[in-house]
Amino acid sequence: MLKRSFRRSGYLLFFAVVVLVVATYVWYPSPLIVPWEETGFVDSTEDVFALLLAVFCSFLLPNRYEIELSLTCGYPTSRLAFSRLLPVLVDTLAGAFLTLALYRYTSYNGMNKPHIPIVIPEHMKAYLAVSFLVTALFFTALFFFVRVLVRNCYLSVACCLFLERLFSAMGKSVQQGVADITRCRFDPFISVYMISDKLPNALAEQYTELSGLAHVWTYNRILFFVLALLLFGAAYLVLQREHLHKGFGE
Amino acid sequence: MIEIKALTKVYPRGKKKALDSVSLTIPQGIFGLIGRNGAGKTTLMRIVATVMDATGGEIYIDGSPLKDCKDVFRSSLGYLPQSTKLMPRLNIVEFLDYVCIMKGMKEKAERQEKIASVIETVGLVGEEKKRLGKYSGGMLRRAGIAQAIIGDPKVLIIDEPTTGLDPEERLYFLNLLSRIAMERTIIFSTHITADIEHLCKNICILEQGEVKYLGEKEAFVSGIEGKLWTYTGTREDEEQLRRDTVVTSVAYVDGAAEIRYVSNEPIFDAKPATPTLEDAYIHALGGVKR
Repeated sequence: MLKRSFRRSGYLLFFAVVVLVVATYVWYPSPLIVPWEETGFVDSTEDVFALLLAVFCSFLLPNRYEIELSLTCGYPTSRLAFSRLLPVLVDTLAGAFLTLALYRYTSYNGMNKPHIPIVIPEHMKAYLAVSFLVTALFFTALFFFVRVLVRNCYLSVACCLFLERLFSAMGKSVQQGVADITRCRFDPFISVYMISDKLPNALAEQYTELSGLAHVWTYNRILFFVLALLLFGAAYLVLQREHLHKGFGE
Repeated sequence: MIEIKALTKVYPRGKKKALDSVSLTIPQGIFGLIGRNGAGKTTLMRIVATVMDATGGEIYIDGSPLKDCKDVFRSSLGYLPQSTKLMPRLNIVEFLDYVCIMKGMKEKAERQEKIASVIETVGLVGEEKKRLGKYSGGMLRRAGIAQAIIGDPKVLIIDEPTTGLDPEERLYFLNLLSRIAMERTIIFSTHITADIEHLCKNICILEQGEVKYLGEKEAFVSGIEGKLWTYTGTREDEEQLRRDTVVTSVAYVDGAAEIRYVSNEPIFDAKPATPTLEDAYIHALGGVKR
């Protein structure tokens, strides 16, 4: 079933790559041939990535008929949901990393538009990758949960969009120094703080090195990893309860 | 054999019981479940099909409680729900292959053989390449029955399969059901009495979540034998008959009302009529109200 799900959802990878590239290209007008660091891969991609997951989770999760079919065929609902979710996560992540290869993490100077040069030190890249994975897992779980709660796929996309914007706004307010710096502990898009140049001045002074930011980052990532697991569990329980006790659409 | 004992279902926030202490025994063969829309047929079928839990009561499969043998029961179950949206982007072969995988058939050759056989049974040969989204209502029902019977299940639960079908497709579907009924238990729900007139030996009539009748169809119909009358009269006659008897049908032909009603004695100059399942069913529900 998993092999079949991957085969049938192969177009997601293509779709994810196209969306990620186009989004970065359109939102941050930079030529793809000579990508600039200020396209802000980590920042923009995490945003776009979250939206992609929302759309994929909302439209690709098994519907009522498929769940009933799997139940009456004796196929566990959990395996069905997992076989649908995994390609969503893997294909989107793969898309993100494929587009990542298009960018060089070097600052580009001499631009005639306002930009913040970003330099990502070599030793931070592994942390960034882990950070990115946790963000992906958290948003997949969150959007899966929303999709299970809100039975209409379009409505769930709208809900996910709202949540993504909310988190994004929260992150920006911290970056701009409007909100308290300690709030970045609860920002799912914490990867962006790891790029020191994007930190608000106060935070940058406080955590000039990754080691300084490490405890905040660790706390945040563990928190969102646990939250992701809880959301997956809650979504599955809701799915079982809604289905077996109430019946979708009854 | 499926035994249902005191089955009750109350939906969350539901004001009344969807099923109220329903008890019935379903033997081998085609078992007809009749009732108005909202009578509780679909709820009952969904609970038996293990896609919904009951609030109370118990179901026994060959003497064992269903809750203890759910997985075994599911392996011998085929279910065709009321709304068969299926998967519009797949063709019938891809769809049935998906169902086969879910039913645990791992060998590709075995799956292909079963799929070809089922497609032939349901008369969809030549339609293999067409996407399910392009199928007509009747073809979709046939695709639905194909997914239900693949793997040769011993129990088939089919929920209002003929709703919305044209007469030809409906007849084709009913014939198909009678062909596949051999050595199977088929629970077949409908609100169209003509569907089960020639198919089922045993029937159950559900009304507002309660069993109104359970038993053999012939016995049910013979219950009004000698009491069914037909009379052609005026609108005033119809009004009087509605007050004094149980009217099972009224048809206006050339301005005159052809009325069939149930009464111990004939009223007006009525002639005796041969009862049908529909007459007995409408009588059981208290007659034509509108």
